Amino acid sequence: MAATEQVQLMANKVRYKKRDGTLYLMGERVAWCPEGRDHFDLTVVYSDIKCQKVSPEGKPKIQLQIILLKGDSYVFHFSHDDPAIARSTRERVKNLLAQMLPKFRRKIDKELEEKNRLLQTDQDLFQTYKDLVVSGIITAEEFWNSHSSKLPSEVGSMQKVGVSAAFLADLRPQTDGCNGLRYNLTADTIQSIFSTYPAVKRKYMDKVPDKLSEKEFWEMFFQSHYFHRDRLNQGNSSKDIFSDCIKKDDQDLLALLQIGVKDSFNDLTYLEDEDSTKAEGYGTQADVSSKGKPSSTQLINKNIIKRFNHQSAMVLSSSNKPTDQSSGDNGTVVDGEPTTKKAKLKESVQYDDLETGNSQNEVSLNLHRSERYSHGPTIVNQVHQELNGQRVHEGMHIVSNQCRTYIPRLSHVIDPSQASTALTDLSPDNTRNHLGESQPNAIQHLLSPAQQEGLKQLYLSATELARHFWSCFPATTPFLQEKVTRMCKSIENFHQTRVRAYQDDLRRNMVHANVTEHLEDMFSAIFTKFNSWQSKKGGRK
Amino acid sequence: MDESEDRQLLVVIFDVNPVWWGLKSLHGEAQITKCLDALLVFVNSFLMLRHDNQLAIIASHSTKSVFLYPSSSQEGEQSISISDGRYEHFARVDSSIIQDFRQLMADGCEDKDIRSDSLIAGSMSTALCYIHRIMREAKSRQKINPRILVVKAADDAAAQYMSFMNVIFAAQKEHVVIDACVLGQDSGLLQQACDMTGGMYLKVPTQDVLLQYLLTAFLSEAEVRKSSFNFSQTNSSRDVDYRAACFCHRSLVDVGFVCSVCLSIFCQFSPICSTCETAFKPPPMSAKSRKKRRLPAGRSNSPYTEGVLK
Repeated sequence: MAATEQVQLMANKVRYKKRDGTLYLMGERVAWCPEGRDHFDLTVVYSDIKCQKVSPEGKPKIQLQIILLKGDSYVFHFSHDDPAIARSTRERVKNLLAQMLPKFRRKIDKELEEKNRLLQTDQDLFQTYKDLVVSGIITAEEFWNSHSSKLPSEVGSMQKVGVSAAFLADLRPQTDGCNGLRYNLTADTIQSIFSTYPAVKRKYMDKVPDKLSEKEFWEMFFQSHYFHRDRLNQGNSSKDIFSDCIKKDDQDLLALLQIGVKDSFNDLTYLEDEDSTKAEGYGTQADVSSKGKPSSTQLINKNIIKRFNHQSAMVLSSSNKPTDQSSGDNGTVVDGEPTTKKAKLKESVQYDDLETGNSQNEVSLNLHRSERYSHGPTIVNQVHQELNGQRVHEGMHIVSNQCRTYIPRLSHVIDPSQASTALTDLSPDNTRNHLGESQPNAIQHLLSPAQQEGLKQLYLSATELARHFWSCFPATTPFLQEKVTRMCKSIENFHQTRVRAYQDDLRRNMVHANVTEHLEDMFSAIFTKFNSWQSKKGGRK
Repeated sequence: MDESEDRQLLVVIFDVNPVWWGLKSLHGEAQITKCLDALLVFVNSFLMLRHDNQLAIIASHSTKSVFLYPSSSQEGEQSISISDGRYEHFARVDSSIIQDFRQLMADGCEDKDIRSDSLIAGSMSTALCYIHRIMREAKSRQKINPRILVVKAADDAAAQYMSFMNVIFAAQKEHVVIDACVLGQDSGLLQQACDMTGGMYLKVPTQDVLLQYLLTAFLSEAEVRKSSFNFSQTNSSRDVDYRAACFCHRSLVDVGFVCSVCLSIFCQFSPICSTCETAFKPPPMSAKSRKKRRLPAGRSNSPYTEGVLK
């Protein structure tokens, strides 16, 4: 037994495989050792455990089952003579396991899950992963190092789901046929009830499962006046375990009133305006009605409103718990109050968009020679002609003569043979080349879509490998140097296997164009660089 | 006629640079009147497609742009006696064009008109304004599709670059397609215009076949051309020369240096940008060549970037 491990819990009289023994829960594993021996027959690490199960309540045998990730399972039988003690032991073991398991489990699973999900959603990434990692060209770590930007891990903390204020009202009972009511309780509802009413939670922890079963507990809960609308304070219902809860609630309300509202923006009593807060409807006036004694309906209403207020306060406090503790020191609030108030006012009143423009701490652009922007390029093909030559004048003369004596002959504009040659020039096969459409030897025409896909995958993988290679330079640390050699080998590997396979496939399908020329160029550049680097390194040493 | 096509508004810009046409006539390669003939036939065919197709022709001279049709001169409305049984509208159009053309060329062959380029950019702006006006007037009635056809003869002028580019952007905004039929040398500006507005650029080999080219390629509008087999894929963008010109030599550059402050383009590195006087560090010489970086080769800490200008 490793002495360094901390034994968290020891449970005697635990049978495993029909033998008596003791169950130990350590810092990192669960172990069982038979009675009388001193070595562990069974050891299971927490990270291997997928989940645990307990035998149902009604069964005489009190058992706990541990299921591993691989699928194996181990059953422990708590065989104390007194079933209550056995049960409580099992509960303790179960609780401890329930605490330890998540700590060990979640760290690994979450990352793997994310990676799996990412690979499933992004097909290209998956293909690259298959190409590079599965075939052993680079390790998985390096792969994820380079693509870590795509992993959503360690994104900001997830928000807790708050408590719905209507959760109690949503528990609509269904009539059971014979004068009974069924309430459906889900785990979420139970959670909400516990977080809103800590008193109920305390009672639950006390009574279940030792004194009351869960079912009985909830029955009493629903039957009690605590739950129902018209709760009148009946002092003599001692059977009702929730009667003291009512008293506690009243005390809570009073305590809340004492605390008051911290934020002076939300504090109505801060307004010393006679008219507003003292008026009717704000709840500050006592019900001074004409009758001396308040009627029962008024009393009931008051109670209901009190309960509403209390429940709202509890719901709010259940969501505010973490922040309340952080801002719990009231001492410093007093000093900072005026500044925080001013800041709040400012924030709600000013809008960034509507502010006047930014300060003038920008350097103004001073352009000399801004006429440069308005001139275009000199046309390369300009033939410098003598504009004042004799020929120009002659030409212009001829033109003006032609125009003066111009008589349109619109029926003899074009010669038929000329027209037909022009037509053939403009017809489809010729226009393709004439108008310069995508060249006939473009990739789209040469390769089938499947081959294009293959080429694209090749490029994805090859460029990733090349990027790993080139990013190692300058190779200062031994790690980088070793990586350089490793990358070169993997690139060679890739070249030999994948690229050649693709080329063979193309050749078999009678595609003779060399579409992988660029890839080959990239690889030869890498190889020459590697050789020169190696010779330099060798020369230096 | 098929009513499923929309009305068209075609504005033809005819380059009548007398210098260019004169030289061509001297060499016997081209004649302006024959070109005008072809244009008239084309225009008639266009008007025949739909009875309410609208037309405008602008002559782009070296010193002015003149509307040949609709006639800008006052006497355009005089009745023309038709003796050959032509469709009246054609007769009107033809005679208006010829009359104004004669007028223009009679006045336009002076010494002051000797320039090697025509006012193409100006004519295009005029065309765009005319289109805008017609579109506004026609809004209450049926839809009308505008386009511009430029029949270019003379060479490009560097001075018109800026206006030309502005015209192209305006045409893009107005969804006006610019087609080009080039008689002389290839024009980079028109190639860019056609590419950016979705038009077609054709270079006609000889003048004799001009009419056939016009009728085959340019009679249908851009929408219809998309369904045509041979004209649906025009010049791919990489054949069009979109290179920018460097500020120091005004020569076209592929890869250059751009100042990150004023965005002026240079072909060589200079430690101070001559436009905005910002100082830059010279690029460090790296002993190891880094060919395969995914990032561009500029260092991240220097304020300039080296990029491919296309």
